[in-house]
Amino acid sequence: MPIQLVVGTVKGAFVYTKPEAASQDWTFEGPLFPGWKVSAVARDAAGGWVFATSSFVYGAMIHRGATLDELPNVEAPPRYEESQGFKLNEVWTLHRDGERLFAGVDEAGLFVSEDGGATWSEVRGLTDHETRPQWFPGFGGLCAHHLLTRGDEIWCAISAVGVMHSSDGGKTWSGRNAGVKVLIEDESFKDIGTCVHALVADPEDPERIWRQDHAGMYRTHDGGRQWDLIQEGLPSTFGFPLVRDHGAKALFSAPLDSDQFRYPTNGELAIYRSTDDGDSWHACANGLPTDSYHAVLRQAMAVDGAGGVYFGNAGGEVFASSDLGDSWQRLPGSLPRVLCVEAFETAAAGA
Amino acid sequence: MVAIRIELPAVLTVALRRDHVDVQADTLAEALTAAYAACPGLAPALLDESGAFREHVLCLLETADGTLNTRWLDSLERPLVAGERIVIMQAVSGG
Repeated sequence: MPIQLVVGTVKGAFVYTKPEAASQDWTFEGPLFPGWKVSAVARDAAGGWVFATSSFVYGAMIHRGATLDELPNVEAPPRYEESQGFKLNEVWTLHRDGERLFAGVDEAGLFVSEDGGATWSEVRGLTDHETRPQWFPGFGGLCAHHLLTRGDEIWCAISAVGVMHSSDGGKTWSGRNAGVKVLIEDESFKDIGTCVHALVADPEDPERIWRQDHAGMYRTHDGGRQWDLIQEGLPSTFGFPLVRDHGAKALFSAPLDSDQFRYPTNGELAIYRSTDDGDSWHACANGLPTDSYHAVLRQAMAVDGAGGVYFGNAGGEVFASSDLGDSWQRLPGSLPRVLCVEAFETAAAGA
Repeated sequence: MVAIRIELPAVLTVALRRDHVDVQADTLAEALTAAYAACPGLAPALLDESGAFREHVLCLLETADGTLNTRWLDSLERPLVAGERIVIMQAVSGG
């Protein structure tokens, strides 16, 4: 099957295509949405494309269409009511669960669409939560950036709040951050104040979740009621993306040298892989440059489920591996700052 | 009513896939309302949650006497004159 890699940057999206998973013969096109931040992309239940774009001038938009050649904006993107006093600056993540599409946004909140992204409803239970007035933004803003769902259960990762969990479809929420280092302790609410950076769950055991946090890599076996550190072999505790090839049971992270410096330790760009569920981590740097001082941002890594691992960095470089990180090639192009990377199997190139 | 054109800046044209909207209106407010109805997505792009123009959006009215920035007006209920046009501009700062 052809693989399409969509790379969202601060100034548009770029699409790489290769004819089959094992190939290294990439073609390159773009930009889509020139001049717009492209922060998330997803396929809807019918196979259509959904893009989240934003601009500091015009706010957030959603575009959807059957093909990459025809992606009109929707009339009513996610938007807060004026009375709430929140601004919707950007959609950070699009998460599909069956027919439903969720959007995690900045300022932090959650929206859901039942029609493939055409119209959106706010999940008010989250923004009405008693802790909301105490939510504090991270360096990247106050953003809901990763979502996990299972039936009526939702895990929503918010910086710098932590993981909020609902077991009733979003009506009520509670923090699930026990065991995670608190960065900004609240006077009253002790289950917020962590700064989660990424979440990924095991589809065979959705209670087992891995979490890259601001100050550590964690794992839970009980849906987030208790988290434990798992960072043997990692060069630092700080980093943003975390993805998993579920078939190969391999996790991938991109550690950075602390929240103070935010670049690969000693300029040695490496993706760290764990094949024992996070118990230990090992560098995968074959083919990656040394003297590289660009961060890999929160949404900027992806897997394709067929051995492909992909990431882009803040320097606009995009790298691909077709062997679970054993070797890497740099893809063509020198792009703007890469915000997100998503890989899709597609029936035919250009579909 | 007069025929009036609302011209859109390049970046917004990318997203909305059109560089102008033509409407019929008696006032500036009516023209903008008609444009929002004719161009899905234009209103949330130009207006913040309060319904005011976003901070970095300028709405200019090109008149026979020169350019009128709508921020100078107390109200958008200004009557339109044939031959005028509305130009949307955006801040040009940024990297």
